[in-house]
Amino acid sequence: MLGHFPAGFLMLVYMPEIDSPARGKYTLSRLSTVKIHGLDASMKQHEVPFRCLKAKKIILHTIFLDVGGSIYNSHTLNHLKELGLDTQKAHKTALKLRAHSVLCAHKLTTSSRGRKNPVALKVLVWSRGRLVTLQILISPSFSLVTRS
Amino acid sequence: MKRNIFHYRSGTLLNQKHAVRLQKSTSLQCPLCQQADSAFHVLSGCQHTIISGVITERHNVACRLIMTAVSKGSLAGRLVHLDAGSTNCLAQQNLQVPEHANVRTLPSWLFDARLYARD
Repeated sequence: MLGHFPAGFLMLVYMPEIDSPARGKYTLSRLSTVKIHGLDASMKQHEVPFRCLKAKKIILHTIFLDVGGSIYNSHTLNHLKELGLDTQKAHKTALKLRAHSVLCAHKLTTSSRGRKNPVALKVLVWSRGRLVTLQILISPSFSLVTRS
Repeated sequence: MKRNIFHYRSGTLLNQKHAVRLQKSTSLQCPLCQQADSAFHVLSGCQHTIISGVITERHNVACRLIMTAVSKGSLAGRLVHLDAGSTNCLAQQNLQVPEHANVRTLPSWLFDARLYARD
């Protein structure tokens, strides 16, 4: 277990003591993109490792970022404020996170759709006075296309 | 771009469940990873190599955005540990991790002494 923690950890020394830094007060942050009803389970998985840490007090902040771009006061903004950001910076960071999440959702959707339905042929044709995209998909039902 | 989000939030993002319901497919499983397909699976659960790489990178970039914000806040000088992707990826976003925080594992002095003998 030593040294193997989930990715996405930020650790902040909140009240360090120079003589014995191991007895300081720590704030650990974790970014989570699970569903909101899975946050409790997400927090429970860190209980055992935290018992092994030699610190005076450990506060875990699970920053929740929805895959659909939702931002929550209690799960996102409040945690950012407790990490030393003021209200405006927390709001600005949340907006950046939301934009990033929306961009990645679009990227994931189009990438997944493209891999599920690979296009063998895509041409623009002129039909009834307008341009229309004609696609031939690779699928088991199109055996000739698959073989070629 | 926003259309996909609206589809996801309204439950109309096309996946195998809809395809079976519309009689365009016979399998409820994801064609890429053979697990149960759903809108959440498309955005966050697919185990396909490339898709899971994009999901991991999304997580890492979000961590870096938070780190950028925290490093400008009141607790900026107290960052001691960060694990949010490789150093090269951080450099691509013009981010600099403090030298004492540039480690990918927790410092050993933070663990209890009895763990050293066992692990």
